[in-house]
Amino acid sequence: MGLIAHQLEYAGIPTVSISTARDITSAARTPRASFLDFPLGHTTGKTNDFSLAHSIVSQSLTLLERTTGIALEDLPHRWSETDNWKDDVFPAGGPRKIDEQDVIDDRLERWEEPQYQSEGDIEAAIRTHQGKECLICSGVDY
Amino acid sequence: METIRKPPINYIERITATYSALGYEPYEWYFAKEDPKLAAISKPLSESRLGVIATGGIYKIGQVAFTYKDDVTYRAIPSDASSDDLRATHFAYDLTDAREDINVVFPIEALQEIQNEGLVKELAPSFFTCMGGIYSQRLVNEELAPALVQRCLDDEIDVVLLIPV
Repeated sequence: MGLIAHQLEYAGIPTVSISTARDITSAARTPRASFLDFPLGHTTGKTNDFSLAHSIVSQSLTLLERTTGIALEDLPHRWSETDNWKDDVFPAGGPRKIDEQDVIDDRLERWEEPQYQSEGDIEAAIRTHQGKECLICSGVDY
Repeated sequence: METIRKPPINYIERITATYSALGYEPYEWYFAKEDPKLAAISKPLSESRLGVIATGGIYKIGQVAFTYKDDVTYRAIPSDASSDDLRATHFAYDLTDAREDINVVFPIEALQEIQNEGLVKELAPSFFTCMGGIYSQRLVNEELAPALVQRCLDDEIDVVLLIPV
């Protein structure tokens, strides 16, 4: 995302990012970013918590008016009472140092076909494109 | 009870070690060599049109889903879309919560409210979504990023909120 941010800025469009990976955002010298110390997959909060998402998004947006240069600001929100969830995230290379044979492959296979959330979505996509009513897709050559 | 804070996770170190142990090709992390040129803020947020780019693999029902292998296409999601019509697909993060409530990676409801409140003047007609974890920096630099920049210029977007996963 750092690459996209830099190209937008170069084209004259200011950006602000929300990050849950402080080191990746910092390495990319992301222009303006707020850091939310939550697990990956929760960049804008927790399930069914509208006010949390609203707080994260609005605080991040105001960075545009509060900073003039590169900025990485920590948001105050906490995922849980303790930070123990961090011990189990990619534990290889973490503080607990696990054995190489215990490293688990939890990524999904790199399928080259579209990966739908549900069967119904496949049918919906076929309907949209057969009916030539595809005003909502773009960036894809059908 | 005393709550102990642990420092932010060093993902680059941990993921590099994990991939190495699993025998994966190393991921090409993006280390910027110098500070980027920053665009100037030309007007207050309250007078700005806000765009959004999110990398969580989000699509709307009726759209073709993303693939899991260096997919550098994007989708345009109408900014007045309902949460119930949005889906998430990705190989690199746990989708459980995103599939229960898309707002954890794509805060469409908060954004619509922010427009109603006047924090921004308006939302762009479409928000853009793509995949993250793309191995090829060249493909992102030469295909995905320029396409997204052009769309943002065409849609006269003033500022962009970026939401990586």
